[in-house]
Amino acid sequence: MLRNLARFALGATLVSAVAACGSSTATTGSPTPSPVSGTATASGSTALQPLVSAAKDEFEAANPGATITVGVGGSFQGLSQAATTAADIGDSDVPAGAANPPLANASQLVDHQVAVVPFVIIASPAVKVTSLTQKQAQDLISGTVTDWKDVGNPTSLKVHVYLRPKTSGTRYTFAHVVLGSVSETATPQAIVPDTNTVIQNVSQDTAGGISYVALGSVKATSGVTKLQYNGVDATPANVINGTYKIWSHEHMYTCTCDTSAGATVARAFISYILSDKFQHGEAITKLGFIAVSQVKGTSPADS
Amino acid sequence: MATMIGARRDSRRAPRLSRYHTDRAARGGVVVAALLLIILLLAVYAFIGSKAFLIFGKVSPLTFFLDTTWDPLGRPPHYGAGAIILGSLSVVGLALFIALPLSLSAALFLEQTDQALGERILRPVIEVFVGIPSVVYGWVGLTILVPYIARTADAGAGLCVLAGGLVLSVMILPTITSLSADALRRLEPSLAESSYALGATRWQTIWRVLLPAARPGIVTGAIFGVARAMGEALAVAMVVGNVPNVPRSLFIPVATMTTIITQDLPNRALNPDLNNALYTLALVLLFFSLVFILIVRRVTRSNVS
Repeated sequence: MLRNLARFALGATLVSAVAACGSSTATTGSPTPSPVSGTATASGSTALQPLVSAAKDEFEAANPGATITVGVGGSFQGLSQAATTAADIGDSDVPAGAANPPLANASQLVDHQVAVVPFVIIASPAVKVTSLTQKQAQDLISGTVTDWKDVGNPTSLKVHVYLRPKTSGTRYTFAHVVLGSVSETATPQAIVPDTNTVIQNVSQDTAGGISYVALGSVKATSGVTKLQYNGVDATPANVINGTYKIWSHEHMYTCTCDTSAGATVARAFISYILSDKFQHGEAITKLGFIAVSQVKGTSPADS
Repeated sequence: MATMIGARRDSRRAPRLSRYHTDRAARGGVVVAALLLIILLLAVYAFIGSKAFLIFGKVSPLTFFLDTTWDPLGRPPHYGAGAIILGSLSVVGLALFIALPLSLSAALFLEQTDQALGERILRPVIEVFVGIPSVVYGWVGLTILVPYIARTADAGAGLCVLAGGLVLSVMILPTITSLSADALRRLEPSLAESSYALGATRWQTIWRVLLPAARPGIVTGAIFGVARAMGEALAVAMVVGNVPNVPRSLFIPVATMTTIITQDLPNRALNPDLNNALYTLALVLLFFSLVFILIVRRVTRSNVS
C-alpha cells in the first residue's frame, strides 16, 4: 500500500517535473527545516550512491512524509537527467562542465558540493614499490614505463595497466589531478567498468598490475597494495591537512528549471546532507568520504 | 453469458453453438497473438533500423566497419567498429571450435554409447547446465580461469580472447549437446541396423551414417549455440578485458559488440552520435542473428526434401 502510494507520488513528480520547465530561482532550505513531504529522485554516480542512500535513510526518518528515490546510471547520466528534469537531483563525481558536448540547460544547473572523496593508486601484491611520484605515476599509466624496475622495484616486473571507462568519474579525477596533459596508454590490460572488478583484477594479477580507485572501496582484505603519492599515504587525514592531493568533490546538481514538487524535497534533502549533523556524522567517514568543510582549497578535477 | 446458461439447460442443441463460439474466440485469440508477435518483431527491426543508419551521416560505412579505432569520447571522436566486430567473431568462433567436438561426443554418448547412464546422469547434468546464470560463468571465469591463463601463458593479466572463448564454450555446450542428441534420437533405428547388417563397425556407422543423417539437427544446435554466444554480454565482459583491440592472438584483450554496447550506454546522454553508433552495433547483432536463423531454416528444409 505504502509502496503503491510512493510509486504514484513518484509518477506524479516525474510528470510534473517534465511538464513544468520554467525559470524560478533556487532557494536553499533554512538551517532548521520543518518536516517536508513528497518525493524526489536522485540519479547518477555509482560512487556517490552509498552516501546518498545513507543520507536518504536518515532524511526519511526525520521527514516521515518524504521519499527519496535513489537511482544509479553514471555521473553523466545523472547530469543530463538533472538538466532535463528527469531527476530532481543529478549525482555526479565530475563537474557539469566536464560534459562534452555541453549539456542543455547547463547554465541553469546549481552545483552542491556534498563531500570530498579521496582516491588511491593500487598495485598488485608482487609490486614492492611503495610510493610513486607524480612523474612515475604518469609514466606507468601512459605506458612510457613498461617495467616496474624503472620506478624502483628491486626486480624486473611487467606493468599491467587497468583503466576505467571514459565515463568513469574516477578516471576523470585521476586524469585531471595526476596525468594532466599526459594521456593514458592505448594498450591497457583491460578497461574495467566497475570498482570492485578492477580491485579483483589487480589483486590477482601475478605481474605488476596498476590502477586507481576510490579510497573507501579498498578493504584490508582486498589483496592490493595502496601506493603513496609523492611520498604521502592515502588517508583522509592527509587529505584534510593538504598533503595528499588525489581527491575531488562529489556533486549533487539541481536545476533551476525544475519547478516540480520534488524540487522542494530535493533542496531539503541536499540541505540535510550539508548539515553539520550529516557532514560530521558516522556514515560519511564509514563510507570513505570526508566532510566538505574539512578540506580547504580546490582539486584540479573540480572544473 | 446467456448462451452458457442456455447450454447448461439444453444439453443437445445449444452446446454445439457455444462450442462454435468458443472455437471462434480461441482462434481469434491465437491469430491476434501470432500477429502481435510478428508486429513486435518487425517493430524491433524497424526501430533499430531507423536509428542505425544515422551514424553514417558522420562517418562513412567503410570507416565504421573497417576502421579499428573506437574512441567515441575522444577529441575528435572515432567510430571504427572493425575491431569490435572482429572481437565478437573471434570469441564466438573460438567458443564454437571448442564446444562442438565436446558436444557431439556427449550427444553420441547419450544416444549411442550408454543410453541408460546417459539418461540417468548426463542428461540431468546438461539440463542443470542450461539453467546456470551467465554471471556465475563470468565470475568463475574471472576468479579461476583468468588468473590461470595469466600464470601459465604469460598472457598479461589473462583477460583475453581465450578466456572469453572458454567461458562461452561452456555456456553453449548444453545447447549444442541437447539439440544434437535430439537429432540423433529422431533417426530411424533401421539406419543403424542396416549399417551394422552390412558389416560396418560401430565407428563407421556413427561417422558415415548417423552423424550425416543427423546433420541438420546438429547444425541447428551449433547455430543456436553461436547465437547465444553472440548475444552474451555479462559473462564475456568480465573476462575479455573490454579493450577494442584487433584479435591478433588468443592472448590479447578484446571487446565485443555486446560489451561495448553495455559499457558505452551511460555515455549516450553525452554524445548523440555515440547513441546512433550503438544502434548500428545493435543492428549488426540483429543481422548476425538473422543470418543464423536463415542458415538453420535452409539446413532443416534440405533435410525434409
